Amino acid sequence: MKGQHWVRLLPLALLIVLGLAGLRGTVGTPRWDGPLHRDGIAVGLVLEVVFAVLAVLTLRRQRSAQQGLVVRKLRMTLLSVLSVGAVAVAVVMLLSLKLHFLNRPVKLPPQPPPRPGATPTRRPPVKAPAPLFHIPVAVLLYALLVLALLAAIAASIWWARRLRPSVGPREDAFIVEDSGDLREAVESGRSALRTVDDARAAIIACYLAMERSLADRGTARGLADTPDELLSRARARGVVRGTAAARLTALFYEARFSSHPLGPGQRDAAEQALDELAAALAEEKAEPEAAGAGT
Amino acid sequence: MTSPDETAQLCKAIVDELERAVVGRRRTLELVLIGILAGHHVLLEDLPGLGKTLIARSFARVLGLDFARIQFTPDLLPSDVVGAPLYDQRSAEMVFRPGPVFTQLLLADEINRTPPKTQAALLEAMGEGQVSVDGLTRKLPEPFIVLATDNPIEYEGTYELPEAQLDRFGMRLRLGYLSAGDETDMLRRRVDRAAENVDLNPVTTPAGVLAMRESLERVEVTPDLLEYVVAIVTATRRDAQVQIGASPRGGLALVQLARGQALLSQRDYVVPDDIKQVAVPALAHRITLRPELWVRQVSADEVMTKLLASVATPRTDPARAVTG
Repeated sequence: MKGQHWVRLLPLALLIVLGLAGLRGTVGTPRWDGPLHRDGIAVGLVLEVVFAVLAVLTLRRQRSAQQGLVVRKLRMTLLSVLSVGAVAVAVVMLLSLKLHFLNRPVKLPPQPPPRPGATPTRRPPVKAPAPLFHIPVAVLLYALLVLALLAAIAASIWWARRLRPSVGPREDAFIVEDSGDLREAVESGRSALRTVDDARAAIIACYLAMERSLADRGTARGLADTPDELLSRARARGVVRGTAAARLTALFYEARFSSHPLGPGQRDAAEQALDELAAALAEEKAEPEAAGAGT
Repeated sequence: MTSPDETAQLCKAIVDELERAVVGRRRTLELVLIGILAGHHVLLEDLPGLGKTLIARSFARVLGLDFARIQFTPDLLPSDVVGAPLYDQRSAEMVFRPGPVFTQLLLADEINRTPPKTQAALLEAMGEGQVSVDGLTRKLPEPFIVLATDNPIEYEGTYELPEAQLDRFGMRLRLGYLSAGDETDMLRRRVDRAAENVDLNPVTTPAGVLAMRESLERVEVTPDLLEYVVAIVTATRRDAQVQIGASPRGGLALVQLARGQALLSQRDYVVPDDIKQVAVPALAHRITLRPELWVRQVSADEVMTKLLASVATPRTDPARAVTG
């Protein structure tokens, strides 16, 4: 979970770094003159990057998540705003370049060569005609950049709140967090059977061991899963074969959800099921290893 | 008193007998039986010709119950349902003539075709098992079960059931079409028997049905399963897609229906799967979706299914509160 938090914060951190870099004009400082000066292009490019990153993130989330209608509408609105922003920045940049070329200094006629003997007189420099109108491009781009950064921060906070694990369960959360070795899990079930006097507790421990071993094999129980659903999933994935797991699950249900007195017969049945399961899982594990050694 | 084991055996026999007449609908028959065992009324919602009336008639026959049918129409009056006092010329007195509601299994066919006034006449009967006419309250026979049908497609000339009345149905079932194999089987059986109807045998009696209901009370439900039920009901109230969540009556119904499901699975204790299996028919008709979902034709069943996939089931090990 901690790793996921870092992943969520990464785009925000990246955007802030890019934004600061753009504001300082340190990203690839082009050195040409004109109304764009040096950092107009840099700020524009940073804005485009920011818009692109936000758009990609939004699109990825839209594809992966199954959200409600309101969230989807918000995402569509955000995408539209980002698209319009990206186009607007591009247009402003192109327009500025165009104006820059339109407002080039007028070429002066070639001056006659100075006559010999004549003392050169200093002429006042001919000024280029003032541009027809002036657009504060840098100011506009800076304002857009600040707006984009604010929007990015707001969006990140919104996402973080939405993705924060709620009080309720999550589908991708698993009950079995520790995934020890398969043998260790089964052995813990056996030791529970040997050491725990209470048949009910022993059967539950046995089932718990099976659940851990299934988690080790890549079939962990989701928070909203029932033991039978877990078993079906394990069967569908080919992790479980035979009837041992089903018998152990049925015994677990009885031990866990009834107050019947459970006798040694049920305890023995649980032990036998666990043994069969361990043997089957070990056999299954050995098969690919043997195949690997043979090749 | 029937033991849960005996009830479980009886349930199997009942469903087996019903399947002689109703082809390819074992799960629907089980759910209706669960509803009857839990003391609830059942709403069957689907298109005409899918076997709703056949199911009701067959249940009445197999359970040995009196059967009456009311075809709800726009001009049906409340007195046509519950009965009315009539003047008896011989005795020169007003005599109450019971309506068709005085039966044990009532088929309320196309209940959404009648105005709310007449629909409401059924409310007291369904909720209290009694009818009040002319200041006198008359008890209905026991068991009293309403199997109502409604047609979800036609809207013209229909009156949608109000939430209060929907809430009185323990479950709502949708039948759907038979698979090609089941439909062929149904036709083959019809041709083989050379008769319109199957002659079903009663498997139990009204007293037997009441005894089965009593045995339901002996099915265990652990406290964490009750919390699971509350979590499901609460989830319906908190979901963004739901305007009005399930009522506490919905939670009560869910527990009883889960007990019935446990009996059908030959157990005298409820497991989380029992609750999950009956949660959609028990709660979907009790929630009101937001209007935008109606436009998108998202059904309450779909929303409930999604909700169930997000509510935590009880932990594996009761001793460990968090990680099971």
